Amino acid sequence: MSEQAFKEHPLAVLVNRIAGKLADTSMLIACLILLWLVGLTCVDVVGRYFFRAPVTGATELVQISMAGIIFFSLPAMFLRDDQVIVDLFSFVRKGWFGWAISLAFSVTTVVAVWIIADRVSGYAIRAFEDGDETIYLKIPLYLVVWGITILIYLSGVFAAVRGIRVLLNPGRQLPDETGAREFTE
Amino acid sequence: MTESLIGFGVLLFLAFLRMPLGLALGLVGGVGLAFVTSERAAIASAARLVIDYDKFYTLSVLPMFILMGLLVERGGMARELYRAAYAFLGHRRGGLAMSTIAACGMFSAICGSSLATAATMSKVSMPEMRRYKYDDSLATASIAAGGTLGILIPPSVMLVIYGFLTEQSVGKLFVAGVLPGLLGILFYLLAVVFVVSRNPTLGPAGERSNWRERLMALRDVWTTLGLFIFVIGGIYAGMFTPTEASGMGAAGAMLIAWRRGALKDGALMQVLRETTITTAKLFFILFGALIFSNFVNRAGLPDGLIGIVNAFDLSPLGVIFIILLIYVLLGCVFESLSMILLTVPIFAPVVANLGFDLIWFGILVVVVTEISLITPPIGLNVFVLKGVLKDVPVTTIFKGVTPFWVADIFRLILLAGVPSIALFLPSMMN
Repeated sequence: MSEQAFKEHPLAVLVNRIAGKLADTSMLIACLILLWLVGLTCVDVVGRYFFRAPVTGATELVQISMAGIIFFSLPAMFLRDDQVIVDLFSFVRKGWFGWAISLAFSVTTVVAVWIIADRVSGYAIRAFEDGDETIYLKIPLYLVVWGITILIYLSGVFAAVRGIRVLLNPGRQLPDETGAREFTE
Repeated sequence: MTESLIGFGVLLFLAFLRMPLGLALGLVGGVGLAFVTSERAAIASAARLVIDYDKFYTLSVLPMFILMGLLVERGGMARELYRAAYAFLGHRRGGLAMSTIAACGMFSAICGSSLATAATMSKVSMPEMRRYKYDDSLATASIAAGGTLGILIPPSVMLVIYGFLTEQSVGKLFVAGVLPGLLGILFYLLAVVFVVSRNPTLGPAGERSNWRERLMALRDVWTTLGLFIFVIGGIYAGMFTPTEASGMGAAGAMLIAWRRGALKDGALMQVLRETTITTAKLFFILFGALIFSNFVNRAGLPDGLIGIVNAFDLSPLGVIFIILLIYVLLGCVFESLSMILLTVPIFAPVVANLGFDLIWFGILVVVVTEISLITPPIGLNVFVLKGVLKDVPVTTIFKGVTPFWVADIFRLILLAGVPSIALFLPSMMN
């Protein structure tokens, strides 16, 4: 099968489409959680100062919301390979050498993410068996840790999809899919 | 110690091969940790970090301040800040460059990113400076240098990252950044005065504004400055935790942007998306940095460095200046985030062991990081400007930046020699 035929194979198109939709959906959920987090902190502060009624367990809700923002955004980050790099020697990622490095990094990412997800799932099982809960709101922790586990696995799958895309473009770099500008510097 | 030095070398190699920084840090840290402890312990420790809920509370400051900054940028507040600064400074020689710096300082007070500050201000102030026939080197340099204030004047993404890595209070770090930030504005203004005193044609004076125009200009910026006073004043007075302040700040910025009609046509969704993806990127590299930090600590690198310091009988302040020199040199090849992530886990234990305050050291690190943003060959702010102003050669910007770079070095020496400049306000906090 030629490279072009492989890329246009219905299965490849379907996988790309499903991955894109899933990444967009998880990103949308992360955005909504962020809005909720802003609302939660405002209601907590206003409740505390004006009504002497802060939100019960606000700290726990902030922690869980923050976990939600991070882990629902990760799959899209891995699918687009939208990561921070030291951009000093850009020539090292050109041509066949660059392609081979990209592929090696994709494989490394998938393996590393998978190992972490596997271990985190162990913590989820332990939290379930021990009946761990948050202190104030009594939220079962295994639900949160399972959620995190699933999203890390999903990130691993998306990193693999990205790796396959690299594989299908031998000798070339994938176009820059950076979704966000750097806002960290 | 040998293991960690080898690890550091491998990390640099992988980073230069353009491996994603988070992956490089996590990989080297994980493999190194497995080597000095065991494979099982390394994986367990890394996985534990992923579900460490306490850290999530501290980290929640990041997305909300990033959101606040992006909303402020969208809201077009930069133009009004520039107008207000121009009303007071524009009539002086080099006044437009001074206005740019003052506006950058004010914009930094609500936006925690230097790159965003430089990119935004370049669109606002460059056309004005060109209209008054400012020399490109002074005009672009004032934007590039002024933009660096974004990561020091709170809220600052970089200070949050430093606080996270060293377990220091983010609130205290923010408050500690205020006076050094103001000092930065003052030194940059003096740099402009120096440049135009040597060659007045580089920055001709603009038109003088009357007091009515000045008051009108101030009226336009009160919401923006009020937001800063509310957020940072709230932290200083002990009314809010940094997380609460960031939530209130983001809500305030959203309200201002909405009133200005800047959230139409899916703009809010775009800003939210940018915020969450940036948060995920930061988390990924912070997670990697923590694994790497665990490794270098277990491998005894900080202890080894402390041993070297003791063996050479160096004065504590001498050590600080050596560390700062290393940072200035690293700034020539690393961008700021990488520099902080790679070095803070190594230097912070040494500095703490010497008896210095880590809040003060955090401010020094961020000031050095600011310097790296305008240091050749990879000063990022300079390249951000180059991206916006394609007709100006990079060499012109770097040439113009030199006086500002020297001003930064003077400020760094002053802050290192007089720690109370950074520590006075935090010591007065509730």
